[in-house]
Amino acid sequence: MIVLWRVTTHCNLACGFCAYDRRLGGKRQQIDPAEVERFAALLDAYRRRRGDRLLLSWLGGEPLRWRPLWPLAHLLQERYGIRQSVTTNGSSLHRAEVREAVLRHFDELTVSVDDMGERHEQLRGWQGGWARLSDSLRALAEARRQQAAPLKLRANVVLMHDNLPRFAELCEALAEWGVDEITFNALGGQDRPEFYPAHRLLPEDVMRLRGQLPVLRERLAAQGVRLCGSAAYLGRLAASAGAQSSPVGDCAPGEGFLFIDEVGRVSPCSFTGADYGVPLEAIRTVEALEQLGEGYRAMQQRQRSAACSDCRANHVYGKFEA
Amino acid sequence: MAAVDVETRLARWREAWPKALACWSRYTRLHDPRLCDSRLEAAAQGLSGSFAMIRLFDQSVVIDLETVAKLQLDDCALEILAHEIGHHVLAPATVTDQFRLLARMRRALPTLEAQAPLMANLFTDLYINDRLQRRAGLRMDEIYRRLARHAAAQGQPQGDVWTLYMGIYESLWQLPRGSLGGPTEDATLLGDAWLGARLVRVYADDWLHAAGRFATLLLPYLVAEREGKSVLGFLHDTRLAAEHADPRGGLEVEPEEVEGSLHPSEDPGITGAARLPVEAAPQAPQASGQLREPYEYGEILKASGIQLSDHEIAVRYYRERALPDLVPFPVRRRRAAPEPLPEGLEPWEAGDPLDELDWLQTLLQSPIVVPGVTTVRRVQGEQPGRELERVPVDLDVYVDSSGSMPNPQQRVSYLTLAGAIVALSALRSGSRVQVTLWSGKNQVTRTDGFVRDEDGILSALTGFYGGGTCFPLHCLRETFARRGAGERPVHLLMISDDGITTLFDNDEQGHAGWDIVAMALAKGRAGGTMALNVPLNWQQSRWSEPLLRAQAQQDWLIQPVPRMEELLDFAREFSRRHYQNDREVTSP
Repeated sequence: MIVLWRVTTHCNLACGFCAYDRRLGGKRQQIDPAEVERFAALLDAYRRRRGDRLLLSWLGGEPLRWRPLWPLAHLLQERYGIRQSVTTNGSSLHRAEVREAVLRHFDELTVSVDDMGERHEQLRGWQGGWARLSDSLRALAEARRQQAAPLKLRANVVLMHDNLPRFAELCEALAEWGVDEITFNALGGQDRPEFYPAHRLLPEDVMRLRGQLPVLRERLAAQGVRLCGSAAYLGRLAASAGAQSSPVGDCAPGEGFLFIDEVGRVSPCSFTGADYGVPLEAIRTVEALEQLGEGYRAMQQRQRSAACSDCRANHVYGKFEA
Repeated sequence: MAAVDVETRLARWREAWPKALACWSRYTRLHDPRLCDSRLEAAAQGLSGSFAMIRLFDQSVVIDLETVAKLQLDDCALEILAHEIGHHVLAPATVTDQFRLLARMRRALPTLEAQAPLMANLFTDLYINDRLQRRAGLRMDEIYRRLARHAAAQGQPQGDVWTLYMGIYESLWQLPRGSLGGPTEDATLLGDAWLGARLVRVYADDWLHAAGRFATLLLPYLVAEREGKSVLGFLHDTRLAAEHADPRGGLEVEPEEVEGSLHPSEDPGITGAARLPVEAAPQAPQASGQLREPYEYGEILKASGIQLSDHEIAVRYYRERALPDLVPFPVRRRRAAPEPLPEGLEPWEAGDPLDELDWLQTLLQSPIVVPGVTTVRRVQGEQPGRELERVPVDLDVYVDSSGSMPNPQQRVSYLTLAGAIVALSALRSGSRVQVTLWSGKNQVTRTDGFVRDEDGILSALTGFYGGGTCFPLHCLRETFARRGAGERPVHLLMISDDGITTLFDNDEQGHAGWDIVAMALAKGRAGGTMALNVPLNWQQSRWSEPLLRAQAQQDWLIQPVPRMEELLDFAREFSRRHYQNDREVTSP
């Protein structure tokens, strides 16, 4: 079971394509850490009963700036031995203390990097960010080597029409920094509709990407770096670029993947919280957790979410497969 | 709730006391609480604002039953009494720990130090209540529910501090959100409440360690909130906890006091990090061995409920600081010590050794004993003997308090401290000390002659003028003019800077200072020392002439002390060099 938990919508960067851009108004939310603590106990019991592996992945906003994160990470690791990962913009990784904590508590760390040098800084509203990120990741990789820590270092790239020409160059740079794995996803239009049209991937962009991936993948593999993205996943990207919808009949909701948002809605993916989300407070036993999948299916049958008619859930298409 | 008469209420509370003690341990022993049936009576005990209080000095618990009834807490006798006992047995438990707690709280509440006593109280309450609720099964939550209800009925606003504090209890006791008045929606408050609860859990066995962290957690809420603390006021039962107490220690800044002011989310104990995941900051100075300034020491004493003037606080401060450096003061031996021979009676004064007081003769003089007035001691004469007798050397100290010197009540004054070390060492070895604090003309404070009254000496030393510079020659003249040849030798000690040269000016009667000093040294028979805050090469200064002459002709020992801190080395060295070898002197 992989549980993705968006614990906060606060972020310190200003990314024009993101719903949590610090410049945007509106109410920011954070999850109640007491609920995380309670639900983690359930997840642990669920894992034990099913003999399943569990990975809890912290998401934001910027989760490393959420104050209860480190106390919770420690608690969940000490008390339950839960494996954890985090997705971050990397803006706090320049601090040795944070890198130490990452190595101590996490099995995976995904850092978001979208372009080379100043372009990345402009995209993220982060002056000096490229150099800082480069130094931070190199230092993290080196500390990991010295400590023989099991941390997997991953970089994720949001692909756009603008940055695609430098994707290969970016992958090479990331490999040099010491990342183990590179993933990508296409710019979505849901978060910032005003940004999307001018920057979205076009069908010819996806075609070009398809063409260059095998060579790039081989080159990176020679450096020990895995470039992810299955054929099905690329197909999904092409469909999006061509404005074709991709309905999914049965995604096995709630079986191996859960998404929990900052207000405590538990759903089969990040796009269906409003339609299928079950409040955390309603899940108080392992049985209730086990019955989630059945409940989601029932809801799908009763009233299918619009999101399912054009599924954009990356995990369904094998984003992390090669 | 039905009204109960006073006797019934008192009986209920008395009945609850042994049970409350047993909540902590069956071996817990405290004297019965003072149950005040009116606010007036409670106020006479010093209790106001809250409905209960403790005093660590006499291990008392005081309850204001009228306010208890008003808050509809009559049926919570067991909970309230057990809580107050908790302050005696768990936190803060001792005056010293209350002092340390306040020091840590103050450090973590910059600009809001005045809130430290209340925050310290709330903090210790968490530990006490958590233990009572979870281990003893008491209804501590009910008290907070009723307090909140009372506050709402009174129209008192519920600020974020209260909301967060209640949220911590809700998190600790896994109560539904908002059931005690804690946060329900505010994500930041919910997160901080959870962190507060983690803090209590992680440091369950070391509450003092968590104090600064708790204050740091509450600081932003305190900054934002300037009103609505009246509900919190009801909880302030340790406001006068250390009243009348005499806390020892507390001068040294503990490392934890400096390093403990960190947010719980950055605490390695809570995050499990070897180092803190906090924003890189300049390395804090190593606190070990660092001592507080008198002002801060005084503020902590006051926050503890100790009601003293700044001057009285300064006396405590310099006594505490001098203690580690005290040495046995100079003792000289003279040959052929005489045998004692009773010769009559003389007044016994406060500060004289108690064992010299002749009770029989005192009572014969007056059945009503008034120290210093009716008290007498026997005067012993001498007849030649063969035993060696120890003869303490009295000390006549003149401390410069002119404008070039720091105010000892605000900042550390090394002049005062050196004076305290030397004077208290003198007292320890049986000497008498006269202290003269001086500055400009007519700016003189002195002890009542050569005394053994520690408070009197320190009180004179810790005074401050900050005025001009004019050595009080008349004091020196009068001291030695009337000193008899058979009296103890006296060492003259001047602690000053180049302003000491006014010692050699003429006095108000036109007598040359030079002659007065010579007379004093001659009658003192034990020499003179000047510890002066002057450069090492002071001999080359334009004002050095009279001092060079004094050194050459009057045998003054002039010790230059370029940095004030070095006065402490001087004070230690002064005693060692002159007196620790027990030199013998001839009889006068």
